[in-house]
Amino acid sequence: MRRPPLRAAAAALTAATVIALLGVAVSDAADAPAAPVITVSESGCGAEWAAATDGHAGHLVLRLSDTARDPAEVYLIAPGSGDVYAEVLSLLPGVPRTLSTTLDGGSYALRCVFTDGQVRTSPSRTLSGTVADAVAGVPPLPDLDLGAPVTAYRAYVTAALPGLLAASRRLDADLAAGDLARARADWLPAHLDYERLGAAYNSFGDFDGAIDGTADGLPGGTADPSWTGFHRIEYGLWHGQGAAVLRPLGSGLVKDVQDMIADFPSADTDPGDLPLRSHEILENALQFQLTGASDYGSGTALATLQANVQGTRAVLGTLTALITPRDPALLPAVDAGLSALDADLAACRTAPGGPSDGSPTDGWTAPAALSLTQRQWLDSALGGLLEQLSTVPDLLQGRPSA
Amino acid sequence: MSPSSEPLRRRSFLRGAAVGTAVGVGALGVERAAAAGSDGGDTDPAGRRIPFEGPHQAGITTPQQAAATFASFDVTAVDRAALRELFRTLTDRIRFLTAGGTPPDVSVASVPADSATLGPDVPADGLTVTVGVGSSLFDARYGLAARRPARLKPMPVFPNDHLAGSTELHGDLSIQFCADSRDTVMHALRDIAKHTRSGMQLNWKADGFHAAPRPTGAQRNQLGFKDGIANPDVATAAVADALLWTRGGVGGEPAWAEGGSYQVVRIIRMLVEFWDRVSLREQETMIGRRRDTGAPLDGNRETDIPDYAADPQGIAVPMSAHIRLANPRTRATAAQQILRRGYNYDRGVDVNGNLDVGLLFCSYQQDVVRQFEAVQARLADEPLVDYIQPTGGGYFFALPGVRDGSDFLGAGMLS
Repeated sequence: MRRPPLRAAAAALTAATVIALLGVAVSDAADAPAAPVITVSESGCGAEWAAATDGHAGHLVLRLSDTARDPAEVYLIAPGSGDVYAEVLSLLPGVPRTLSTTLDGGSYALRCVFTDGQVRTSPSRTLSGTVADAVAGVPPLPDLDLGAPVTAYRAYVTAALPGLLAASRRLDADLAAGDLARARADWLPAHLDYERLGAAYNSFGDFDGAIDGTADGLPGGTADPSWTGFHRIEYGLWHGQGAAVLRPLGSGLVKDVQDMIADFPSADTDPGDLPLRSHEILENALQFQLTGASDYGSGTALATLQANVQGTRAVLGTLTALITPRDPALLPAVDAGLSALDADLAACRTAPGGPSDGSPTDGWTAPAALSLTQRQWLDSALGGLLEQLSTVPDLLQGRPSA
Repeated sequence: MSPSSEPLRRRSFLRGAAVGTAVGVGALGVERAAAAGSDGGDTDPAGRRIPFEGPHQAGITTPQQAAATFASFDVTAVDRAALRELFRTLTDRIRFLTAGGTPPDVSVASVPADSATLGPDVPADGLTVTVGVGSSLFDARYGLAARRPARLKPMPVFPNDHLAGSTELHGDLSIQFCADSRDTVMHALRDIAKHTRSGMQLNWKADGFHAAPRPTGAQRNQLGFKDGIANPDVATAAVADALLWTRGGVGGEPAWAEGGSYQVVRIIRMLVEFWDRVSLREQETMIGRRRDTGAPLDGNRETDIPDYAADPQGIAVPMSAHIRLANPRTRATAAQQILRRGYNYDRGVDVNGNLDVGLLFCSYQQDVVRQFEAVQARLADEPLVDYIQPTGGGYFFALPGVRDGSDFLGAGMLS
């Protein structure tokens, strides 16, 4: 799901006066409520925490209070590397928050980033000793660092759009000519061209609903006159609807794709969307494709799932340079998971010996026709992969370096 | 001691996230918690803690908790090494969940370590998680064919079963979750599924509840009769050793099976609308007990032992009564007794608007053939079968217990 920008939400709040106590807490969770308050203000960022002298490695609970006028993001960092060990992403004036983590021995500081742009960092503090379950630090990620991935992703989409348009035109021409058998054969390549783009949660705005929407949420269901796009055409092609019914839907699809192409250069891609999409594309695929919920008759949901794997690879590919230094083991593991899922999908294709059997559904097994074992292997591969991918949005959360 | 940092190194099932380890175990009321089997009055929010380690798994001789889920999983581990990791992960999660505690802090790059459906601190809450293996795990996939427990096989179809089209049969693994609260059972299932997605997949599950005594004694089933009165006294070691636990190297069992037990799970629907239209006399004749007191028809209290020797014609307790067929109380049938640990279930409505309610039958025994199947054979075509419909379940072998922090479930089977 889209997450609202925290800074915008925070800015709406008014300041409140909080009488803050000074102090530091190094304790276990049972003592958390008693943790003294650490103050974030115009004049400092938790200096009293840094000034304490008796710190040890271990579980740590900090109670933070913002007495400044503006909301702040508070990061617990290693001052040398800037690596982030804990964070409170919207500390609002008058609304104290608790920050909890487990730190190994080392040098740490608090960094406060206020919504007015001010950045304050506490003196550093050294914790002694070691602890087994310390959390790992994560290198900061200035928002600008997502600029290159966004550019790369937009280039990927831009390069793919002409293919989508051409395939949509072929489908439209089939419908215009009344050749429904050919339309059924040309429907899948066009749909997959769209699914490979890596859309998730309406990432192409209203165009996504017009081009790839389902009948869910429409008052008339599959009979709703406002339903358009690939799935609407699929429904007609595989439910005996005639060319007269489908012809306007074909031309409408081409127009919507053209409009999307015309709009794309000026449409913003929120940098934060890319890390989210790296897991949301396949979350959608689990929810709507592997269940068969988005299958309106063609039985090609697994082909869509495979296209979604390609879309996920494309998104992850743009993020490689950001992910690898932060978690070197993640992408190799994800790649292995994606490949395993690809292999399991391939095993569910009934085409004898080739990638295509020439039929409209291209040899794919409909989700409802999967054996229990096939389904369990797909669910296992996809489910395991999604658990791995769930870390990407938090790993690539924007965190200022200074 | 507990290899608490090991899951962070072993990342095959949930790489990247902090696969939880019990950070606060011991600091959160665990030592204050009551021992297994204690009853009410304990207001500690962490609830009672039932020890995980021991020669046998918890959840077998443990007095029944209020809530249960019986879950069947199929294994999707790619090879024997991944299967081993699966059992290690299961062990780690069960160790944490049954102890309770604070989920570990995670890095800012991780999603939360716990669902928090039980709050920020996970209570032990009398949770037991009991893992069994089905005969299908010993097929060609993992090279375990020679390790199969001697009596483990797919549950056969019995004469009065209604299994056609059932989607609730068998499984590579059985996991029995029992706790003092429903939400604790659900939390445990969800946690374990999250940590094992690439190693196993949930096949079917059935949720049960254990009724309070009404007014005293054994719980009543949904036929209104007290059920489980005649369980063997497995708190006595000699009884448990004779009836419950498998012995490694004895009776053809592999050495690793020492301390395990065969588990039978059967989902038995009760046609309660029909039952409620049956006269009390006929109901009691079918069961062999008084409905109000639970007493056998030749006795006065539920704890009275029916004297079948004195009633050879079945004048008091009919020869076809359920309790007489199930346990004839003869020297020859003494070794056939099973430990029943069933739960009531309630899960919806059929096409006629009748309730889908009944019994999640669960029994543990040393030898599923000598004990459960012998009882089942005597019960075939008993009068009660018109009112019950077994619709699913399976045979499993509950693994031996986890001895210490370096041991794990199935270690002997996989060694």
